[in-house]
Amino acid sequence: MTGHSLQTADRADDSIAVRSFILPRIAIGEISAVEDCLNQYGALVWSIARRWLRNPSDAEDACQEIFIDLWRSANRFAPELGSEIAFVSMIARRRLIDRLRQSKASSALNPEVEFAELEDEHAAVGDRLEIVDEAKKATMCMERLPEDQQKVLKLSIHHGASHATISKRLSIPLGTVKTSARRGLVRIRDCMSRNNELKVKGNYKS
Amino acid sequence: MSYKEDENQTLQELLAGKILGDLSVSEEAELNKFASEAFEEDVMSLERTASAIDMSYGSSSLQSMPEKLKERIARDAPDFLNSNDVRSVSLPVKVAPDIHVADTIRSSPIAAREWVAWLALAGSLMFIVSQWVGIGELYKDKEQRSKLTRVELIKQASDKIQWSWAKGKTPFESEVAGDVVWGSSRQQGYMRFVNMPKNDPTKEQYQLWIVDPDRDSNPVDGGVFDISSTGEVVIAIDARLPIARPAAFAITIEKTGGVVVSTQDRLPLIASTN
Repeated sequence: MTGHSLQTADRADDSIAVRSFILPRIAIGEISAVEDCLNQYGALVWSIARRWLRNPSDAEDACQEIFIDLWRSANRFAPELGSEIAFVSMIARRRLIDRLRQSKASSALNPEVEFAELEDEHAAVGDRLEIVDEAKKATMCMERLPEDQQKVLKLSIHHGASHATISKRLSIPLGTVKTSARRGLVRIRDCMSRNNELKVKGNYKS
Repeated sequence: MSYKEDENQTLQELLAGKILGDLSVSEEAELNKFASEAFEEDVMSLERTASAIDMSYGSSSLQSMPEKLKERIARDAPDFLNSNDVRSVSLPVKVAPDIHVADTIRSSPIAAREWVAWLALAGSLMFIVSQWVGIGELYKDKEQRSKLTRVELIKQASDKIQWSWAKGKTPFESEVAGDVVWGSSRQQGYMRFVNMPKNDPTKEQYQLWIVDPDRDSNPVDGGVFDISSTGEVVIAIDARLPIARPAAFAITIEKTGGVVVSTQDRLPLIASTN
């Protein structure tokens, strides 16, 4: 396993924003863009799939499905709505959710590792300020949520853990997990949207 | 939003559940009661939010995708791309045979067979896709994307060249505007035409030639293309060979499918440094 930073983690935070778009080239059928896309986003997609799926072979199948979906839906990418990396991540998540729903497979969540990760994450929240504007805004908005709600969202969204699993891991009633995750997501969305409006008005500090 | 506040909160939470993949069967049914077009935007915004949250956690270290998997995905990709843009296709490289050419850049029978197979595949895909979105929409969408990527190339490529079309030795009757943009580091380029006469693809087609003295003294075939609108048209250049330092781009009118050797009898447009 080769660990490495996402292409932009150690660079200026807007480096992805200035990088050339790949998906529009995919959308018009430029074969050469396929390799660029895999080089650019292969690690991202693979890492998401490995986080969500316990079996490497399942993760490989999922990656193939994700990229097929990406080739087919590249023409829906709209730069004005978000970054390209966010679009790729969105497609990946969508496919993985479908896959888990169909197979009822469990995610790769490991309780011991997970608790350690949660602690690390909480201690080093500044390290999350990276990549793209959307991630920065999400981090800022997440910090406004109660700690338990942050944990629920992380396990649900970042690890693809079912609410039942989260309930067990965090010893929180299932109904609370469900409500907490859903309302948390809506709150983050609304918070990010408000920050966007403030930014447009010039009152937002990123 | 048009829903009442409490109803809207329920809807938003159901949508969040959908994005998080945790809807029960009864909740799925409840969500389906709402008109789907009313919350399409909400679904997208929640999906984007979930991606942003995911990225905010997952960016510090990533695992490389296994090379074999990457190769497999790349190998299968052509079967799933929306189609080859028929406006950006390029034939295997051809140059005038009366001028010395390195063997390495001659088109081969295998390449030709691949080209025929690819055309067949593209044709099939085009048919399938056209059943879905309508052929007009597809072309419109592709052209929009070409325009977008062209603008992006102009903005971002530090080594880009951008030359306006000028009259060739057999100019059109009416003036044609536009330009050609090329970025050598990206090997990406676009032709833009305004007021270019439409062609009848069953009789003749336009063909692009790229002059690159660093590669060879002979022009490289940039492929054939059609013009179906006299408004602004942007066409992607898909050069099969690396173009190091283009000196000129020329458009000729040839028989359908293009030619290996252009007589240059009909050369209406040229773009170069001068």
